[in-house]
Amino acid sequence: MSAPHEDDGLEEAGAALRERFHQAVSSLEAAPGTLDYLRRAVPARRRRRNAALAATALSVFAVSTGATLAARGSFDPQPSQAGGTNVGNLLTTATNDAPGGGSGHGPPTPGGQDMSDDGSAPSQTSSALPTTPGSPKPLVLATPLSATPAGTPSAGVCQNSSMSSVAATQNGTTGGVTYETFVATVKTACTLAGMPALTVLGADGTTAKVPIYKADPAAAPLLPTEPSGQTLTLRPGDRYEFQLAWVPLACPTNPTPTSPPSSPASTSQSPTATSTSSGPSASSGPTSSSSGQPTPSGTPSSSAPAPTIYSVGYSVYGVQPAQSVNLMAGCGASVYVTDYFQAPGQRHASQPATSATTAH
Amino acid sequence: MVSSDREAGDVTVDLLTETYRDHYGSLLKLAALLLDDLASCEDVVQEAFIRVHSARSRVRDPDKVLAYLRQTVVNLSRSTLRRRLIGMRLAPKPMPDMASAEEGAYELLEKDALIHALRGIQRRQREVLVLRYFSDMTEAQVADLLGISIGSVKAYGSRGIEALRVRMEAFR
Repeated sequence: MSAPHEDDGLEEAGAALRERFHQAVSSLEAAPGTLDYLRRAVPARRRRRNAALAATALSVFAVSTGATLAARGSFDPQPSQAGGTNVGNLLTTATNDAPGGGSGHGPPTPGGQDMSDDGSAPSQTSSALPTTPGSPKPLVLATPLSATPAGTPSAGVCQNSSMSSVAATQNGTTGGVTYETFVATVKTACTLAGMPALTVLGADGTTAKVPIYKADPAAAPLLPTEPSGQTLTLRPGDRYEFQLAWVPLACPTNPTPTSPPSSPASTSQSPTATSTSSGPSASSGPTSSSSGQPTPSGTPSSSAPAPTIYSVGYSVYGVQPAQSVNLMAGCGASVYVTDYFQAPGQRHASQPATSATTAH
Repeated sequence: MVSSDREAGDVTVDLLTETYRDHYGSLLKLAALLLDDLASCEDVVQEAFIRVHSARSRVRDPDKVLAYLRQTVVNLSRSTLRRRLIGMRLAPKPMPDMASAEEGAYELLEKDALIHALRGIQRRQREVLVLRYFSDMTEAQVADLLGISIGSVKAYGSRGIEALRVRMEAFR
């Protein structure tokens, strides 16, 4: 019953309040020049806001682009021949006990020097390293790794993610030399050139001092002769492969006076059944010359230390191995590896490396 | 493209001028009733104008420019009060260098007992009373602007009037 009276009181109070409010502030007016100030300030504020937005967008774009480029540059498996650091070699440990060492990407330097020291190392390697006929040549790539595949502007360099599968198959062990074949199936179109990037890890997981040589038919024909120095243009579903030979070294305490220094394996010791015709020959295998080249040994001696398990990892791009195999050696080993080549029956897409070089 | 930008700029300037002529005074008075420091009223209203008009493209309904301006004035007044409260705790307020053009009017306002009483009640009650009885907004509009229910507006209004009455009697 009292509600109407309360409402009436409230309305009366509200009306009085309204009047008092207006009366209290009736003398207030805008300061002179306020409109001019607002006319200047509004566009200025809008410009500042747009500039801030643009700067933010530009910063985000620059940061994202820089991060992407930095990530790509850090893991670029194809370092420039003209100079600069060889990131690929920095990712692995160069060998100090064997000339021409350096597992992983890029051309090696004599004595396992760090590639970052000298940008001209690739051109000095072949001349600085004393090579003897029949001795294994150091890792000199037939294809300049900086070359861009000619005629394939749209296909990028293969990555680990470009592969649907990477399989390793052991072809057997002959005379102590173990042969492995890596076969990869491509998921997305990409290109490959030169030698595969291998990383040899010891039993403790650290990079082992195992030199990696290219299987040059003239110097170290340990593997079946395959067309090398080609740039492979791979399409989805294509397969490519490469082969490697794991050659355990003879232990220093085990003299081998009776065996010729330049015959790691006899002609009867063919690597695989399928590669007998082009298997290793006695006259062109690795030697134990004074230059310190590794010598493959047929069988480990009984006094040799216990064999160590090494893990040879293959990475299509970067350092994360796409496939790895475990191999054993008592006193170190050498690895001989072929270039990439198309799997049998898929020769259509390969291009000579020279064309890629000149096109670059 | 340039002409269209210029046209857009002209339209903005015209709208700014129009809004200024129509509402700047009332918004300034609104700020004067909400703030306990009258020197900040001009700053608050000018900032509200700058903010709303520099983002005119985001104002979908041109008829709601006044609503946006009111909302911004209320929010900025709250922020100013909050900032001043913190500033008073940390450092003494410096004296103004020169007198404002509106100083005389502000002095009159300062002497008003209603204004003193208004500054003594709760902030929410003060906002409801000012918006309801000075800006002549409905309870629903006040509730919408302050983000509270209509019932809360009624409660704050009645309690605010009662508190104001008590304070006014105390001044006498």
